[in-house]
This record gives sequence, C-alpha cells and structure tokens, in this order.
Amino acid sequence: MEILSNLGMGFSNALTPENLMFALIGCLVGTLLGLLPGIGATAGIAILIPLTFNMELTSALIMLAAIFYGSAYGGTITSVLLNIPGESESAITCLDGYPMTQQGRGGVALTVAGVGSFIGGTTATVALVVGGSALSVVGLEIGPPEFFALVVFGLSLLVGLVGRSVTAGLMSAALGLIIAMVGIDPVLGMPRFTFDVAHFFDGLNFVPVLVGLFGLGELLDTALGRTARPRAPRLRELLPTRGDWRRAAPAIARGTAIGLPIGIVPGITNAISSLLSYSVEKKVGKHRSELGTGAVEGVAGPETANNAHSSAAMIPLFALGIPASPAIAVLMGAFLQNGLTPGPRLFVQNPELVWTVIASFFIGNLLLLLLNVPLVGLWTRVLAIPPAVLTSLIFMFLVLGSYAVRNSVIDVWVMLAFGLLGLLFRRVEIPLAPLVLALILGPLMESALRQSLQISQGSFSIFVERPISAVLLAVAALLIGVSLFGTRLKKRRLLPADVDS
Amino acid sequence: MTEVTREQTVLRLGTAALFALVSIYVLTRSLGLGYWTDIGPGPGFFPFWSAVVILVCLAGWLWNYLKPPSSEHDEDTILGLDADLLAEQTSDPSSAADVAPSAGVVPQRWHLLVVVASLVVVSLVLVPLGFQLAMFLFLLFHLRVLGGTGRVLSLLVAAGGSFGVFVLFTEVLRVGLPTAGIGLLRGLGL
Amino acid sequence: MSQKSLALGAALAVALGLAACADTSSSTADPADAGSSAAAGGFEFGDMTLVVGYGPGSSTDAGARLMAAQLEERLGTTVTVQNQEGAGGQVGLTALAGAECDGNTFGTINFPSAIVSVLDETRGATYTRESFSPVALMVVDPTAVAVLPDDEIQTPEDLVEVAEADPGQLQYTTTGVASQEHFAAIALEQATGTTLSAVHFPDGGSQVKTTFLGGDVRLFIANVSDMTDLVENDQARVVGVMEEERSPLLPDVPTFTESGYEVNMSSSRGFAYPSCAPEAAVTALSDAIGDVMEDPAFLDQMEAAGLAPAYLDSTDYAEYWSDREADFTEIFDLAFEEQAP
Repeated sequence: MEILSNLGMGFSNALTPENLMFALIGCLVGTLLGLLPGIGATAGIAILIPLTFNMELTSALIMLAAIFYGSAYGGTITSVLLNIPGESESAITCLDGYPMTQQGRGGVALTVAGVGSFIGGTTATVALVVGGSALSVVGLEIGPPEFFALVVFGLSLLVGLVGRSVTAGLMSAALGLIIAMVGIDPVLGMPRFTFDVAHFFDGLNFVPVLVGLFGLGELLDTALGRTARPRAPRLRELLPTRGDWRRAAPAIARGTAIGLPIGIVPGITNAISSLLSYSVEKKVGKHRSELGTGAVEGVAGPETANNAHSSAAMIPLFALGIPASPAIAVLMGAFLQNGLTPGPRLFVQNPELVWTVIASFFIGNLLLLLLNVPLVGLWTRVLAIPPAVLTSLIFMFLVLGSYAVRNSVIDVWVMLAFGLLGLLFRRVEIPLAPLVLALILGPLMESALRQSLQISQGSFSIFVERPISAVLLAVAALLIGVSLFGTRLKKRRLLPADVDS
Repeated sequence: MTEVTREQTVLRLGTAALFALVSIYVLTRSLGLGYWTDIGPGPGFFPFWSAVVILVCLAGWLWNYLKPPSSEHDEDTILGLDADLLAEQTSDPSSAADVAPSAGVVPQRWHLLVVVASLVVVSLVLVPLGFQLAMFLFLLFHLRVLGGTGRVLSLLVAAGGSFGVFVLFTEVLRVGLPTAGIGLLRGLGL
Repeated sequence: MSQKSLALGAALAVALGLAACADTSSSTADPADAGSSAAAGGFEFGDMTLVVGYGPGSSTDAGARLMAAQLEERLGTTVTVQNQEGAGGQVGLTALAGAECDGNTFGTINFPSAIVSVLDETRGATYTRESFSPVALMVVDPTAVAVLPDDEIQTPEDLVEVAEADPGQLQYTTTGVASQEHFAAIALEQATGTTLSAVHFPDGGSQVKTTFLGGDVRLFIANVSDMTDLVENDQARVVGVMEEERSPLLPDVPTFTESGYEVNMSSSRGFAYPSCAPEAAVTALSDAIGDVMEDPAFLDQMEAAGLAPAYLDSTDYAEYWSDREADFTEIFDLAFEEQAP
C-alpha cells in the first residue's frame, strides 16, 4: 500500500539522530511552556519561527510540532499537582486531578494522563495517516449549525453536573455565561459590559479567570486553613494499581472516541473535547458518582480526549490547509514562511517532508510518554518543597502567568478578582464546574447560533434541515427529557417506601 | 446535615447580595444592547436570560431560607423536582473538608487578609517598580514574615523567583516582563 | 530514583540550553556588519521595542518579526517584539501612543483598524491620528473576492450579474462588523449598485474558511495574503482584486477597476512612533526600513509569508494615512447603518 511505503520513508527520515534530537527538544520545550500558565504553544512556536530559517526545514517543523503537542502535557502537571490550569482544557483536569493529589495519588493521575494522552494522540495520528483526506471532507460538513447542536448536546449530557444544589449550580453556570459574554458582540460588533476598557474588548481571557478561580482560589482557601496541603506521594503510590487501570481503560477509549472526531472540525477548541469527555464519564461511567472527588476516570477521559483532539487537529491542516486553532495557525505560519503551503498539494509537491513530519508525530507522542511517565516521580517531588517556599513561588507563578498572557497588569487584577470569587464559592459551596462549563461553551454556543441565523437569514429551520445538526439536537432533547422526567417517575415509584438519599 | 454557622450565613447573604447586584446590573444593561434583531437573538438576549436565571434562583434560595423548616429534606427544590434525584446522587466537586470552626479561626482570617493585601500591593507596584523588584520584595515577605523561612533560603528563593525568572522569560523565552517605571530604578537595570 | 532524576534533569538542562543558545544566536549582530554601528543615519538607537498589536503568529506579527530581525542587524542593537494584542489592534495602539519618547519604542500600524478604532466612538480609543508619527509603510495587501472552484461566477461581471438577480441574497464572509472585509463589500455594493448579505465571523479565520469551503457562504472576501494558500491548493478561485493594478501574487486575476467597477480596498501594515519621538529617530528608522526593503532576500521572505511589499517613507506614509482616513470615513457610516438592530 502506498500509504505504508510513504510512512516507512517518513520514519526512516524522522529516526535520524538529528531529527530525533529536535523532536526531543520540541517535547521538552513544549512541556515547559505548558507548565507555565499564560505562555502556551502559540507564543512559543511564534517566537521560535525565525529560528527555523537557519535550520534544516524538516527538522524545524518536527521541533515546532513537538512543542505543540508537548505543551498539552505540561498543562496537565500543574493542573493535577497544583490546581493551576495552564489552559482552559486543563481546568477540567483540575476537577478530579487535584483531589487525587490531595489523596496522595497525584502520581497516579499523571501516569494515567500520560498513557491516555499517548493512546489518544497516536490513534488520532493513525487516523491522519489512514483517512486524512476523507475525514477532513466530513469536517467541512460541520458548520455553525452543527456547532450549536453539538453544544446543546454537550449541555444535555451535563444536566447532572450541577451537584447537590440545583440552584447553586444554575447560578454558577449563569454567572459563567455572563462572564463569557463580556467583550465585543460577535455579530453586531458593539462592546458588551466592557466598562470602556479596551483590554476587555476581546472578552475576559480564560487564563487569568481560570488560574484565579482554581489556582488562587485554592491557595486562599488553604491560607484559611480549611484544606490540607497535599503531601508528596511515596514511591509505591506513584504507579496506578490494577484497579486504576481497569477503571481508566474505558475512559481512555471513550476519550479517544470523543476527541478524535471533534478535533477534525476546525473551530472547536480542545477544551470542549475535554468537557464532553468529562460529561460522558459523568453520564455513563461506572463510578460516576465519584467524579469530582478524585476519580481516575475524571483525569483519564478528558486528558485522552484533549490529546486526541490536538493530534486530530492536524488532519484539517494537512488535508485541507485549514488551521483548527490559533496554535496550529502559527504552526501553519511556520510552513508558509518557509515557502510551503500545507494542504493536499503539499503531499504531491513535497511528500518526503510531509510524511517525515507525520512520522515524527508518532515518535513525539512516544517520546512524551517515555519522558514524562518516569519523570512523574520528579514532578511530584515538587509537593515535597517546604510549604512556605512552595506557596510563595506559586503566588509568583500565578501573577507571572496572568501578566504574561497579554502583557498586561489588568489580567493580574482579573486573576485576583476571580481568586477571591473562587474562595467565596468554595466557602458557600457553590460548584465551580458549571461556571467553567458555561465559560467554555457559552461563547461557542452564542456565536454558532447567531452565525447560523445569519447564514439562514433568520430562519431557525436551518438546524433541522441539516442532518447532522438535526440528529444531535434530537438526541439532546431525548437526553434532557429522560433526565427530567425519568427522575419524576423514579420519585413516584419510591414514594410509598422511604427515600434513602 | 450541614450545620449552618453564623459565618456561613453572613457569607451566604453576602454572596447572594453580590449575585443580585451583578444580575440586576446585567438585566438593566442588556436590554439596552438589543434583545432581538432581524436575524435572531441580539447581543442582550443571553445576558438578559442569564440574569433572570440568577434572580429566580436567588428568589428560590430566599424562599427556602424564610419558609418554616418542615421536612427533613434541607435541599432546595426547583419546579417540584427533588434536587437530589435530579442530580443523580452526584457529589459536589468543590466541597472542601467539613466546616470545623475552631479557636484558630481568627488568626486564619488575618492571615488571609494579609495574603490578599500582599497580592494587591504587588499588582499595584508591578509596573512602577518593575517585575524584579516587586516580586523580590513580595517573595521575601511571604517567605520570611509569613512563612518563617530561614534567612539564606529566603534570599535565595526570592532572588531566583524574581531576578532568575525575569532573566528566564526575557532572555530565553523572549517574553516581556515589566521593567521599572521609575527611571532611577531602571537605570539600575531593574 | 534520585540519581535517575538528576540525570534526566541534567539532560533537560542541556536541551534547554541548546534551545536557548540556538534562539539567542539568531539575534546577535552579524560580525560582517560590524561597520554599521548603532548610530544609523544620525540617531543613536538603544535597545528597541517593537509593539505589535496582534498575537504571536498572526500575519502582522510574522511580518514584524521578520523586520525586527533585519533591523537588529542593520542597527546593531536588539529589537524585542512585544505583543500587545486585543480589541483588533486597539490595545497595541494605545500602548504605542503612550510609549516612551526616546525613539526606542515603535509599533505596527494596521489599516483599517488604526483608522476605524478612532472613528468608532463606541470603542473609546484614547488616541487619535495625532498621537503617532508615521515612520514607514511595509505591506499593502489588497482585498479580493473568491468563490469555490466549481462556482459559476468567474469574473467580476458574473458577480454583479448574480448579485443583481437576487438582491440581498448573495452572502459573503467577514471577520466582523467594520472589518476590512465588511468595508470592502460595502465599497463593492456602492460601486456596483447591488446589495449583498454579510455573515460575520469575529471569532477567527479558520471558521471563515471552513464555512466557505463547506459551501455555506458563497463569497469569500479576504486579503490576498489570506487567499494564496487556498488558491495553491485549488480550493478557491479568486474572482477579482480590489486594487488599481493586478496583484503580483495573482497575475491572472482581473481587478474590479479594469472590469469597470471602481473599487479600491486594501489593508496595509506599517510602522510608527509615538508622536513625541524625535524627528531624527523617525527619519533614521524610516531609512533603515527602506534599506531592509531593498534587500532581495528579505523580499523573498516576505513573499513566502504572503506579504506584498510596498515601501513608503515617513513623509509619503503620512500622506497615505490621510488618504486612507478619508476613504474609510466615507464607508464607515454605511457599515453601521446596515447593522441597526
């Protein structure tokens, strides 16, 4: 088969010591960038692009791509160990990852995340190799109406996420939605709730908001003496047990199945894949009641979905020349500035380069696994740093990260404000998850809805006329119906006997 | 059963007030933004309904709070559906350890205030003093005064966390961090 | 275990060191250029900062970084790019307007956003035209209209025909209200006497392309530099370019002007100082940029990045700015009229 021989050629090039070294450097730099909140792969790759002019092009692209998927892993480390989400998708990992650390199982979380990420990323790359162009055509069928239907579908899965108190959950979600609305209106272009501060025109940046809510909120809570500092796990606690793997495996499988298709669609961030994976675990996971308190599925699923998504996002890049996210757009810029145009043509014009880079994805994923899983012990040592030192440095980290996002002190203030809000929420037991959910899904839902209506010129029928969107909405309606009325029936049946809650 | 302490009540009322303020503000402003346009919801649509949801929930809270305690179910219900069943026995992701007010509460609160104050101060001086100096002082404060760390370690960590980090970011990562706004300090390379 | 981690840590340090060394080496001045000192053309430049009002990796950022690298060599000093993104360039412009007056901080200026952000009162811009001293123009990127390759529209005349047949039904993509594309479409409507229908995607370029390629919106309006990759991949056909002369990047595509419709719309990128910067700095930097733009190797890099080079020195650029301001003021009111809720 032609594909196999092309891939073989790619591997033979990618496995040269030089290219291996660059892949390694990329993975390391990527992980480091992921560790730092506020600096993501996007900035890192952009800054290093001029470097590529003096390098062998293939090697340069291998390195930049490695930075891209390496950064996903770095974000996991800070989310799990310190409750500091580096990117919005990491916030989902915090929900179960940090409680695991608090239980001394941080090492387990990181290992499971690493393996899951490897599986998700590799599977997606296989999809790229085998069915790239076919899949991307499907990706094009997904437009604003399908985005909207997907969001509604995601929301329907999350009906059960609100926690003990429905009102608290709803308030949290509604507040998240309002925060997400800050900025310039997507269709009409007028500023909303920006208080005339130009910095807010693009809306509140996720990083200071999430870093504040999770990272600072947690630290302030600890300062009050309410929560215990997590201790560094002992050696034998680093590895997941048989039981852990048995629980994580289905979550990993589901995560891959979710992240891969969604990653193919340009315009959806990997936060949404993480979120959907979490909500699916919440819905069908065997131990779903434990989610939120340190269930391994809560880390395995979203992390896998996240990586599958990132790797799958390469499909539209290579097959169609469309960058699915800002980070990939920068990567595409690296191609462009070196005179190459990603897209179907590139496979014909420069097959050696393309296949070598694709082969390097497999290698990179493997490298990340080999690098990071053994390093888990090293990372968890961080928790052994004396508390005063660790806390002080984390504060510095939080301020630094918030500033670095957009070079502005205003974001530091935003982080502070949300830190206080996060503390307040923890004290009065308002769940954070719905807020994060609304923050992530809200903008997509609104712009998808309004853009769909622009396309259909005001007609709502566009959502049912298009097959994919219609199906998603129908399933969503079904799920919501079952949730609401199914429990009503349950209640009636239980009424005579005592309800045991 | 959750024991509602005085502190909890104050906090809850405060939170409720905060939510109420925000949602009333949003409610009034969102209509001005345009509720509906020719082609669907306007800019004010979603903010409006979000604010409505919050106010309805607050009303529900209030009603629950004021009504005479009757059943053993302390949870609030909405639309007649039992919240517990609706939530399918899920646990609250953000619930911390049990509320256990002890004699150590007052010093803890002071601690919190000092921490928050230090963060506010560092944010204020970040631009005038520049990252290096501002963070150095901040770290020293946290390490020595709040944390009781030894002199040498404090100095080392504070220096690394401020000057070291600055060099890392500006030289290696080529990401800008604020340098001092005050000319004198800038002359010193801060 | 600790020995292993030490070893791994050391490896990490070495790798990082490699990356760091590799990175900084590209910014040191070429020894061969030792002759050109920091004092170029009568002004002594210190460590310079280039404020870019858009995110890293964006087209503006890419062009700015290319220029910065060249200026570092020519002026023999460091030029650090500082991204201040937000509000469509407004945050960067605000930062530039309030920057140091010592001639060491300059920034990117994009039209139409630099002009529109002043015109649009709801944006509350704290700067005006007078807050800046134009230094040089670097790129002029004309706007063009494209369709899918199998679309029946082939020429500007076809486009007008289809638009006239179905007023208000022919849809086009933009990156937001009062964006470059929106203005272009309005100018087109004015010149051809037709009515089109806008679909705004302020969230990002990839959504625009997906929607266009998916066939949901018929006309793809964008700058030529954003279209070349689609054209290369045979995914789109450019119908017409809104410039007086044909674009060198698309020599086979007619301009709207030659088809009888007077439409000239282009976005441009240039550089400016805050207005308090010394005259000598303005001239010196402008000349340096001019020199860079005569270098064939640099021009190749720009073309590879899809940027059509066009240089104007500070005086001519100032004139250009005023002309564009006049153009956009006309169209601006029309853009918002359309959108009245």
